[in-house]
Amino acid sequence: MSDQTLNLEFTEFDLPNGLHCILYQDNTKPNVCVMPAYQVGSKDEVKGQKGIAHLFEHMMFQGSENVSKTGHFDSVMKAGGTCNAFTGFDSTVYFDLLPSNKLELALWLESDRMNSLNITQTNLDNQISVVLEEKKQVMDNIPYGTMTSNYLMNVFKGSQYEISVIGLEEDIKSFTVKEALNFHNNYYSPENCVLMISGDINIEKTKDLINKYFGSINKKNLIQREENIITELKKNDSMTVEDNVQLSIVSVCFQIPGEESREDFDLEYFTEIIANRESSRLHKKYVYEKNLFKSVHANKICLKEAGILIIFAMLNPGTDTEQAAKILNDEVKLFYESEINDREFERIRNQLEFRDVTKNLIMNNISIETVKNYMNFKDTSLINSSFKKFSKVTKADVKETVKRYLIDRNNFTLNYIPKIKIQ
Amino acid sequence: MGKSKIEKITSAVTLDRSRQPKSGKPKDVSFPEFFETKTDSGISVVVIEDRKLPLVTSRFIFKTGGYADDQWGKKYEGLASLTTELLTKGTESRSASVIADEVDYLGASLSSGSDYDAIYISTYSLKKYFDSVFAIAADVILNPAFQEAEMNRIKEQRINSLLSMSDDGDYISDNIFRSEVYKGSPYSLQSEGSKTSVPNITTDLAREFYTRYFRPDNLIIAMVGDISPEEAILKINTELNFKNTEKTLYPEIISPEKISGSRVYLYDKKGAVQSSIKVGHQGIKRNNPDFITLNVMNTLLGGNFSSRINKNLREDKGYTYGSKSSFNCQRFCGDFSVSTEVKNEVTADTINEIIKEIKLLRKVEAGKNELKNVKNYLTGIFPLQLETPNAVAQKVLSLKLNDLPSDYFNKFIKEINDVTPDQIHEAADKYLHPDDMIISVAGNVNEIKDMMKQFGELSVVEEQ
Repeated sequence: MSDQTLNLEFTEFDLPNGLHCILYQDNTKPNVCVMPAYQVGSKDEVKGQKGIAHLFEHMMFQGSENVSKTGHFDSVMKAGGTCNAFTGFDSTVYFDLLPSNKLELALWLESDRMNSLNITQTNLDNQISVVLEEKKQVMDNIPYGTMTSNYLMNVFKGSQYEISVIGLEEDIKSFTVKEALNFHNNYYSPENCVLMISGDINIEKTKDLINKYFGSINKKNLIQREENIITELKKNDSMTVEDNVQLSIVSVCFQIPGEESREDFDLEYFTEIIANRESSRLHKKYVYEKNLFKSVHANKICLKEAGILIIFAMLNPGTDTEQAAKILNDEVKLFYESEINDREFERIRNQLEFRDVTKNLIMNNISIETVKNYMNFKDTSLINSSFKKFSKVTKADVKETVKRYLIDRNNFTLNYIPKIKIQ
Repeated sequence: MGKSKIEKITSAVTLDRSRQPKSGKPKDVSFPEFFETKTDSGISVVVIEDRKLPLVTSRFIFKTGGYADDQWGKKYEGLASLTTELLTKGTESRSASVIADEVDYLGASLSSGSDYDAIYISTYSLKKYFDSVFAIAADVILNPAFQEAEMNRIKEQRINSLLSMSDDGDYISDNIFRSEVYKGSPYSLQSEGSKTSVPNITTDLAREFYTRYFRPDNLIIAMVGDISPEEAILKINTELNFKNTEKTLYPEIISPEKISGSRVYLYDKKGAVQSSIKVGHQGIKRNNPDFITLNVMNTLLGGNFSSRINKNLREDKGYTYGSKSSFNCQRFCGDFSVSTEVKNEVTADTINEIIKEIKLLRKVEAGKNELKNVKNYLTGIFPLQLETPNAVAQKVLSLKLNDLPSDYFNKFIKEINDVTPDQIHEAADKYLHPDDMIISVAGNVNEIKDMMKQFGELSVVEEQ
């Protein structure tokens, strides 16, 4: 079995203004994906402006010197494409997916809003309203919606990862036009951007077009970033939230090293061996055999500088939350103390191999992963070697990492329980 | 991996940014070719060969689903869904754990699910494991064990899932909407079951459902990816031998009751800080000849980000993060709805704006430019929707399931482009009924009840 399942080729270059460009050619479908990714995210926000990076992303769709409010969306859609953006802790990524004969249109649109933004008070007020509704829709008005923000607040206390990307209501409401323009000037500079273009392109022609639209954009005024100091959890801690839900959730979480670190790969084996699939240890024992959990999962929130590993169970009515927390903690200990059998270890390797091959299916996904790999690790072709890294992981590595970050360290337990008891 | 610099940087100062660039020549878009046949046993087979990656998907679709629960009655709603779930929970030779273990070990997936119109079972794996996964799927389809203990387990799981789902306002408003819009027809049933129906469902009923519908003439199979038609047919003929080969009998479908006058249904969602709104009425079945015209009309009205309703509610008023209108077209009937989540105090204003936009579309013919933009959007994103072989398969299967001709998608772009402002206007008049709507809202009833009375007869729904 070969360790390398992907072999994608990238062409890379820098413009004199510092814009880093990555091209990936695949002419099998008549589509193109244009993706400028800016190295700014919610971790760059100062106190009193939590949520600004994301709100600003909305303002990027509200018009620039030559593009009207909603003009970006409208132009892309009437060209037969779609576009969107997402803000993370470490970066803000925009993308336009279009028929390949519309490549130049996307470059024109993206370069115009990198060059100059047109922000009015009316448009800002409108988007503040929209973002406040977005916050309700993704967080406040859905069951267990505040879980992620509670993890962050407790596991990353005092760091720049403490507040979730959507931010704080008061801060969002107080954002001004001047602050928005400053944000553009401080972070939306060509040397702070990675422009990835993938799909049905011709490399030389695309280079010329990039130069035509982005070559004349001047560097802006990048500012000193907030320092992101992440400290270990000082003690085992827990928190219980009463929510408008009918089933309880118990979750135990741990602070872990950042994504793409050696430990991140080791822990991928751990999460898949103990939870998620039906044949995983926790599922077999407590969902299937004992019927205590409705479901059980183990996930990682992977950020550049650190991450959170979460094991969480949704409890069947009648299952005690303390008992559930004990089960989860005991399972982690048992993992370290007992042997990983060959079959379950091979199972994870097979799952990762499958996942690696399917990565190549969707152009947009290749672009997202590649810009991130360049921005965070300065390693554009990491996508080709990540499965190799998974293959090299040994059982001993996994156990050692589990000991170091899960057994020997403090953790945080977060419970959600029904406000009103089920009759 | 080539890392290269541009040697010569040409000056770009002369660029006039005020001019939007012209687009290049569009490439011809053709729907990927696919192979189709019928086996001697009556199974419809579609093969979409794509050798780019060593992956194979097999999809099995039985032409039955939640709508068929109606033959057993509302007391047993959820029967199709639970029967489907039970398939992968044990065969005559494999226990539930063995099935999960074998599939997981290969890094593959074997999934099953159902909706109102169909039951789906599918496998997805690397080519090298395809034989093994296909064998398990065939076993699950041909030899399910319907064990009592497994049935009891999934019933309990289902009841807990229903509890958990009812915490979500959107789920509740969707459910109320469905039961009122489709009143009197099998589509008004809750296909996932309810907390009163699930306990009534037994392995005997599941076996009965299975015997009635799991027959070769009722099955469509799509094989997708790194596989040839010859390989696919051979595989099906050798591994999928049904004991029961009788012809499937289908039930008569009763149409939903006509809605006259708008009716409002509110559900008090504890702690809601937004209203989950769904408004609309009956629509069309999937193979209605006006489907394409309505697709264009709906896209203009509320189908995408640039549409009238979204621009009004989000970009102009700031009421919501987003809204969407859609025609949900099923095999035997369908619905039209607009859904959104908005702040409590603008719930009535939002519904008034939606009604206003619908009435405007019926009254004033859409502009030529606006229509052109919508057509460009729909024809442009069409190839984007065909990026993966599985996406292509899904489209082809929708043709088979809804008795549409095989060359449907070859004419799709042309038919979109042929839609005229006149046709849109006629379709709006014929298919949109702003005065006869079901208005369903899950939210804070105390805050919104009074303002909602203006829309028609109002009921507060207690139980979901």
